[in-house]
Amino acid sequence: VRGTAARAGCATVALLLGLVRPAAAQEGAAPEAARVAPASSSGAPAALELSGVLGPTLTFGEPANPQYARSSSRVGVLLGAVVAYRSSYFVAPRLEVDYAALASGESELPSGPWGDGGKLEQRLRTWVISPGVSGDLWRFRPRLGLGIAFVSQANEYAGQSHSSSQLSISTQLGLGFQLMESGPLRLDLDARLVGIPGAEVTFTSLGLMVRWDALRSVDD
Amino acid sequence: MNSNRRTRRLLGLGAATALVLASCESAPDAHVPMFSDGGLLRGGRALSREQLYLFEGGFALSQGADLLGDDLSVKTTRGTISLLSDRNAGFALLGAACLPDDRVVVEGYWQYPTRTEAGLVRLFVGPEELAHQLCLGQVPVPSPELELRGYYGNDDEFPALPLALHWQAELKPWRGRFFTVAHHGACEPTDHCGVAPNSLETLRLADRIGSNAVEVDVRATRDGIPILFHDPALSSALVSGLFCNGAIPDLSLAELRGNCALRYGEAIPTVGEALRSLIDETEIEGVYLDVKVPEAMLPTARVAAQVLAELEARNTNADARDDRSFGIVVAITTDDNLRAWHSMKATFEAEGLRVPPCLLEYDPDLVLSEGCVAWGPTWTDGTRVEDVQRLREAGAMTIFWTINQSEFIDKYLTRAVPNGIISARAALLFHRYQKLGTPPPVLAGAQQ
Repeated sequence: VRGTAARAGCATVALLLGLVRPAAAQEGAAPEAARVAPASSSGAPAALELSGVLGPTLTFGEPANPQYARSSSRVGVLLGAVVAYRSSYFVAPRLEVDYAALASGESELPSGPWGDGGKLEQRLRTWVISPGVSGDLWRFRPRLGLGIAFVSQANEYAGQSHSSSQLSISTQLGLGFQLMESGPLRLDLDARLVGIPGAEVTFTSLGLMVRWDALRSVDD
Repeated sequence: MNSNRRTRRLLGLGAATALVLASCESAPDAHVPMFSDGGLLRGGRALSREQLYLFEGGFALSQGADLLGDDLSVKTTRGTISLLSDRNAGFALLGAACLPDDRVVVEGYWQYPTRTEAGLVRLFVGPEELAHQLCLGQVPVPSPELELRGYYGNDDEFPALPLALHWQAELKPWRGRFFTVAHHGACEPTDHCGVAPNSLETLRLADRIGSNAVEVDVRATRDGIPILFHDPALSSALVSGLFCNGAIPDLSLAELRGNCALRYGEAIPTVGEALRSLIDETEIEGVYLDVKVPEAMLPTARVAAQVLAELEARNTNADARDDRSFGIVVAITTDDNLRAWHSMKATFEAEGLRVPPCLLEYDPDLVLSEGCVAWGPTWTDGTRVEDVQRLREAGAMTIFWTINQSEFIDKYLTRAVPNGIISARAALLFHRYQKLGTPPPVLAGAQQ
């Protein structure tokens, strides 16, 4: 029984990854409609799609020196814009640009080799530019992005403000779920996990994405 | 349909890649085993520093060779007896105490730094007469009768595997002669020692696992304070912290110390803190300040000069007990750094300050023309025997960087006979020097 379950599990994973074709397809029994319809799983016509996303973020990690930290917030906000070409094939190339105010905090430093002690305020932000691909599976839209991120760390200490930024690659895994559709507009619930390994920043977000078919293919 | 399948494969592969890329680098597992009841040392009287010298020497193992090889070297530092082996660069760090029943226990832990294996060690000093002398507070002379016999274990298991060491010979001269230079501390970032590179903790550990000098990496913060840090920017490979981001020159020391911790939670030390810790808390004899950027040259030289002046005052006062032999060299690694060195010298001369000793890494001829005390060639350029000899005759030392493999350590020890080698495998280097090395001649008039 265990072996059968394992095989079934492996088959499911393989199907999801597209490593094997479904049995019907393997047997050449695809219905006529499936062969003539656009390959887009959602059935939506090909279009140039413009989107905007807004949602709260949660950043992973903790302040390095809890003995100094007075307060910190890892909850922030993400605002993004996407341009994508939703083709009549499964895959849709996309380019996303996001800005996220990720975290803020306040620490009280004692006197030390840096001089007198005082309050240190911290703010962590990032810009993410992420080319990627997405696909439509029923109402779901999984996506993957690999791009760059500018991570900016602003500090204010002893009345002086300074910021520094770091450039790193970023990876993004996302999943949208279409909540509603009205003409060229769609509203998705959008979840994402963004990793910026070079800056040791990882955050997740659950927001709302509005998609608009700016240009639709005349063939459709 | 084919495009669908390809896309799914692509997404699957991409997702896996993204997960790998997104996974944070984490510090290697580190476990320092401890006796659950605190061990026997807790109930004993610790041996004095002078008594610990008894244990220094080359030892043969009649039992436990699987752990530390057929022979090993033992050196001591404050409160620690270090067994240094060339088997997996393994070491054992042990404390020693006289117990109420007149036995002398030597116990602690062993570790292979490049692996996760570690365990406990408990040995007793033999013969009984020798232990008795130690408990009386006497300082016996080393002899072939000296043995350490007991057990070792794995992880936190109580030691049950036999281990026996027998004193064979005195160590070759090494203090002030041959420098086992720790590579930015005791261990590499990928090792399992539980200390981060360029931390105060790793400098203290380096003293205990066979180094008598350390090389540290120096950069300057935005407010001009020289700190120990290797990379130009903060990264998860070296630091952690929600707000720990940015490039070192963009951050003040307060921001760095407030926002960041090294991988095992240590603070990023300043050069001043590191030098004073080395002088006050270790028996390390010298430090090699690898100045990474020209901007760090002047502030680093200022700190070095200040610490050397404090040391001179300490060594010339009436109290001989606080005397301390300690050398500092500021490394010049590039032409840009050489220009910064010249600029620093001009500033120092204008201010009437004494310029600290320098080491030049790349050109042996410049070592002499710049008046440096040492040359620091990379081992990848070969043994450079003639250059080593020429500089030695001119009164300058040679310290190769950075050799971790036994076969190359042997080759450089026997062919070039350098004054020191930078290595992250201090136990291995120390023991190989004791087995194969030739003590380099004392350099007349050379500063350490």
